Amino acid sequence: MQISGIAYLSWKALRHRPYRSLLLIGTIALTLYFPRALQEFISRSEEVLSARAKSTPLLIGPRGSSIDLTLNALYFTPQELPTLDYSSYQSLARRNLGTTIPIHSRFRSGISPIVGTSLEYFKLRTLSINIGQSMTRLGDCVIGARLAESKNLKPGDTIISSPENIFDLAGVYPLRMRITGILTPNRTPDDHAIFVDVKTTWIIEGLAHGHQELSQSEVMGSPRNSEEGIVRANASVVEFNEVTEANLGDFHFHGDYENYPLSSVILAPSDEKHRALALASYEDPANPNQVVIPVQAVEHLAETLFATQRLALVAFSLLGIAALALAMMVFLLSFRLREREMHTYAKIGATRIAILCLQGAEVAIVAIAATAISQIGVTLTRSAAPELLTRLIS
Amino acid sequence: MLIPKFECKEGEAIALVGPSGCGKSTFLNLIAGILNPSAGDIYIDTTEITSLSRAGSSAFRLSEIGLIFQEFELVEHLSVGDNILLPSYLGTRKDHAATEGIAKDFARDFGILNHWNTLPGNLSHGERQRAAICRALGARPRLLLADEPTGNLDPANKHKTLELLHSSAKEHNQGLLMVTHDLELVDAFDAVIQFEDLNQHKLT
Repeated sequence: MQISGIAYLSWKALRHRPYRSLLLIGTIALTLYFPRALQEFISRSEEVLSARAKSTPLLIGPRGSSIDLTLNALYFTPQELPTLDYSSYQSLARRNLGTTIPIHSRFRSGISPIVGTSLEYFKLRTLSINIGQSMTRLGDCVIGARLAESKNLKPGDTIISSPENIFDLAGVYPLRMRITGILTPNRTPDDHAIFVDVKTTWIIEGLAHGHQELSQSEVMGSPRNSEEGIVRANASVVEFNEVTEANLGDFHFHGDYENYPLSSVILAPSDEKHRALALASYEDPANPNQVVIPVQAVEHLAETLFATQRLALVAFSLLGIAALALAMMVFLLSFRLREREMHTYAKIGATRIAILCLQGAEVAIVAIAATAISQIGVTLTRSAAPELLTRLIS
Repeated sequence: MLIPKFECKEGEAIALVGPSGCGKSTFLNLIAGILNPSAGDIYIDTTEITSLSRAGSSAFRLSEIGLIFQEFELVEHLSVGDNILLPSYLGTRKDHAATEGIAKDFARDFGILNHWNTLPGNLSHGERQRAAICRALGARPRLLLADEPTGNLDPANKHKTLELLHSSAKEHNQGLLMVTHDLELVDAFDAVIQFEDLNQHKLT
């Protein structure tokens, strides 16, 4: 008995029924893929979440879910969370406990989060500008590499924030922002984000605005009509706000600056002592804000994920056993239908072992192909996990 | 059933004739080692095949006996070429290239070389039977056992096939035992075993 001859005959038998063979390979590949992909995805996600959490020493935000606060600050998740006052950030900054970085990530442009922050954020995340330069004035933004790539954006282009409700004209008004730079890709949620100065997010929020000069003839989108030196404004509205060199001087903020909102503040204490001081200062339950250690929040989240994973694995295993049993039944029925063929092999002179090898080789070829496909899928899932995680939660 | 004591020499052709159900096919299966006799011995050359293990009997059959079945027994998903080379795939595949060359020569002689890559389902009855005969001859066996190989053939192909079987047996010193219902063919054989029923046989 020669293995190559047996393998050749098995291969020919499988090729003769391509749909049955492909269906079997697909079923077994998926059966093997799901539990392993889930394990890889969760394990890789935990690594990615932990890595980003480790680079975020402390997080200050309003009291509530520490996980929601962490995910919002780290992954710019879209859910609306309570905000903390800008005064809280100012008082924290005045204490000189370390580097304080404001984060305001309430708004989006399409599915991309708009993150209001300061230049310190780029240092914390070791983000560098790949093309162009940093934002220089209100209304400027720096965008992540993947966002630029997917929308074919470059410095000098513009991007518009999405209104929260297109029927609410008095609500959050879109802002057209000027792109000044593209970040170097780093395979984190920063690749998909639009970074602006925190004051720019307050413009989107409606806390600041400019006034259009109707007497000027080249004000973009100006709802005006001029006849013989008489200027008549009409009731039409512009589609979006925009900060330009012409109207920059007119932009002004309303209300008390100290009450302006922030999603959270990242605090990078200068040493252990300042870290302890920062932690202690939020222990008072009367304090409306809390301090969160992102690593702990992520660990808590990972525990939940692993518990869910265990349940899913049990379900996948049961489904897998059922699918494999069905696949084996298909093989057995197929061999029974081909009994005459096997009988021919035996009559010609194939031993019982040779016939078993022939049948086993068919199962083995299908199993090897299915394992290879599932392994490719698992490898792809593992490499795509950071991106997938970002898309899932942000 | 009782099997008569008989001998088939190298290059000798013996016809087995008799009514249906008299045991001609069983007789071939006993000689091929597919069935075991309850008593008695069967020797092929110096090998007592009745004493061989099941695996040993299979291996002997694969290398030494060429079987031609009445119902062709071609594997439907294998091409004509692969069917002819089936003993080589199932065996040790020693000199597979040489075996393939010999098999192609037989296929050419039997007029089916142009169907080498065709599936048996696309062949006529006659072509399928010729492919089955090529499979039996291709392995260069010492003994050919043919169970009504001409039963499905038209008269022209019937005589041609018989001629090729005889010439192969003579040329390669192969013994030929062939079951047939066609009494007009028996004149071409060196001897005839006539089966009356399960217990009575006449060697002429």
